[in-house]
Amino acid sequence: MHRRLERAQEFTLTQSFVDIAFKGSLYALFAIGYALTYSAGGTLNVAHPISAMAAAAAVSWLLARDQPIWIAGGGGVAAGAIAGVLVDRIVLWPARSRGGGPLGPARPLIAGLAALAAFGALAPEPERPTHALHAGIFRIGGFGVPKLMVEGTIACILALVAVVLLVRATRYGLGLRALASNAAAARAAGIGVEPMHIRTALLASACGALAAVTLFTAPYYFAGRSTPFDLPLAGLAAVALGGLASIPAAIVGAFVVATAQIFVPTADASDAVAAALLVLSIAFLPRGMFPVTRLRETDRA
Amino acid sequence: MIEVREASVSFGGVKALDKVSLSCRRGEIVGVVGPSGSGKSTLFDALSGRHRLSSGSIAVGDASIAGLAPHVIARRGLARTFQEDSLFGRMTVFENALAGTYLRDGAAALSSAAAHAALESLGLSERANEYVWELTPGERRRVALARALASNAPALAFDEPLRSLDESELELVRPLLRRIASEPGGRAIVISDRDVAACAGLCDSVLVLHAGKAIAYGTFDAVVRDVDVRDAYLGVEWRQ
Amino acid sequence: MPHAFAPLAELFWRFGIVGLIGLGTWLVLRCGRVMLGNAAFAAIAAAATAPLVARGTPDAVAALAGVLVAAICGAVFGLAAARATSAAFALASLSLWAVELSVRAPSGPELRSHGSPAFVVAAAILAAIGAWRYALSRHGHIAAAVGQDERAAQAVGIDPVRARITAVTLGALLAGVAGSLSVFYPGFDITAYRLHGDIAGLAAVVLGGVGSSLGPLAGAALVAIAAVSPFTKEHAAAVNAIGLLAATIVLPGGIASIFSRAARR
Repeated sequence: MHRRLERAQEFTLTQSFVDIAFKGSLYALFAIGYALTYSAGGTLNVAHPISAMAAAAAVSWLLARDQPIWIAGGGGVAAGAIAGVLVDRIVLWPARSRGGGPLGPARPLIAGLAALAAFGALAPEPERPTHALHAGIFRIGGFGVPKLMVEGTIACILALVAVVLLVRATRYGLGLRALASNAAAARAAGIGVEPMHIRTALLASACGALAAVTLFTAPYYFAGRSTPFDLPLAGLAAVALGGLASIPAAIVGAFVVATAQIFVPTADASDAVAAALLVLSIAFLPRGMFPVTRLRETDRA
Repeated sequence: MIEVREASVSFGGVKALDKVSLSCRRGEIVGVVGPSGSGKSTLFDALSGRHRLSSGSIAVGDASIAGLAPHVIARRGLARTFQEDSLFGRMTVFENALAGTYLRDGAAALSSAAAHAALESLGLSERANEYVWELTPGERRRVALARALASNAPALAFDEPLRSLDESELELVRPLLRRIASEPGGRAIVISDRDVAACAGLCDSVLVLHAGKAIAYGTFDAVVRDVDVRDAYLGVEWRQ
Repeated sequence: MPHAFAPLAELFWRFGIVGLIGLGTWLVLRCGRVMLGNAAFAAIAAAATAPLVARGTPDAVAALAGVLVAAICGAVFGLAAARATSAAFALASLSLWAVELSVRAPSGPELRSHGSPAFVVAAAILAAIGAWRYALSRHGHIAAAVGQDERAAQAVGIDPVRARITAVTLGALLAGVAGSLSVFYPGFDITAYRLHGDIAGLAAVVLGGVGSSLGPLAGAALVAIAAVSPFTKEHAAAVNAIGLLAATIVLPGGIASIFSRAARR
């Protein structure tokens, strides 16, 4: 009896670690989309979930045509990335470039929300895949984990590392950090602001799309344990906890959200945990767990 | 009225202000002079509570303002303007001045009369119904001054009030500052400028800042003859 | 909302509800913050009112209870988020979508709702007049000052945090009035407040114009027409979102700005 109880606890612990690794990496990938666009433009891109929705729709369409999972996944990421760039150019750029007017700095924010709502209202709900995605189990300490979940988690973690390296160690990353600090000085130094916005939109959307593809194809989540607001709410809570302007902090925030969510049984309760963490961090940690000194005027507003 | 004692402000490892002192009583005008980056705006931000002191003290009236929020310091009787015009962009000239009367006399309603009087004294009555984005830089500067004057605060801190003003505007504003300082009940006024000549005939004493440190503090005549000031700014002997 | 109703009555219902939510959003926008989840307070009020109505509590008492609950929730949210930057505040307001998703209440048919739209329309008009008077008052002036330049507002002695808490609480109270009164609408369905209620409220504000309290009412009229018109009612949510997007990019001052530009000429 004692040994059986120990095994049950092992499974729960193992399951919890798997949950945290899976959800945390997804949330982190989605959250850095918010952090990247905030760094480039100083505003929250409320339309970021469009890349996830487009990715899910593309995956569903390709799988329905019997494409292998790696083609469907790649197609989903590409679709999400393109959708994100289109939103940036068609919706956010006009709202940014015309100044605030009566709406002030809220203009790109409201435009992004409107775009998200329009997309959500017009785009059909993608069908979740039902066929042989269930095949393949890895055994971790006696606990069976769907193969796709493991592969998805590894892909997300590799993507996270790649993004952090990109921002830290490349010319693009230096330009992004310059823009995040002072747009006028960045322009004067020859950094093209709008090309930077486009590249950032592409990268942020690709991250969001990969997270959505991984979540959408994970059979673990097929039993209705996620909601359409799963990724966006958790992503927002992650950046609120970590701090909007920092990518490593957003990653840490994501894993904090994922850890908190393992204590609740249902998807709605998970959303509530994310929402509560979001509000509590705004109230008690207004600059996140890792405050970053910024000169950006919008941070003082 | 305004007492700054050995005030220092640090940002990370950088000392933006290093043990600066000044004293301004009612009826006096003190000028704070220095080039960009010398610490003038940091001093004004410390006066109004936007920056915390890392050491030293600042008092407005008889009370220390350490740790107080900017709006609380304003309620203690300090009104200020900013180096870059900080106007209410979607309000008219009159509405901007009216906002300055928020604390006036503890009144329940904003004082139109005080706002009009402030605009009149700065030659802006005819522009009262225009939006501030329609004004010239000099007019915007005057609107910011009007807003501060409308508050009737006993202590005033004007960050570069004479910048962007043309000759006719200077002829209006300089005597006005002198007048409001020396009227009965008088006000303590601290102004800043990049050019020490701006203080001639206006300021009772001048504090010269260089790289966050005070390099001279005294009357205008004493300051312009100071060797350190000449080394830092003038290079040649000042000729009046 | 699923059931057909006399179109004119439905128009007025929608006008009143969207107008009140929009006015609440407008008050917060005036203070320099975007409230992306104001409909959550309407949902909270409805969720508090509906069970009381089902239990036979007098309508006025049930409605008042709902409004109070919404206002208290708004005050709590305001206390939590008022110190945040504009991006962080918007972020926090998005968390209210979780509230919209999770509140439950019996629907209009289950409650056998039979109210007249007169109350909600009267409430919206009175609220607009009240908001107009408020905007002209000392407190209204300082709220606008905070929204336009927080630094200058502090310099004249205004506490921006207190101004924002007041605006958020008043906004939640107005949304609460909408939510409580909507329980008496025969087609009442609490799921109508999920995201689409927020979009409708924002669309009312931006389409109508942010310059005065009449703007949200004018915008609410347009949103209500879209919801009832046979050409657009099937896709009302999309129409609101596209209208909001177009107005934000092309005409951020709303239709009121067209009139004010013409008047200035």
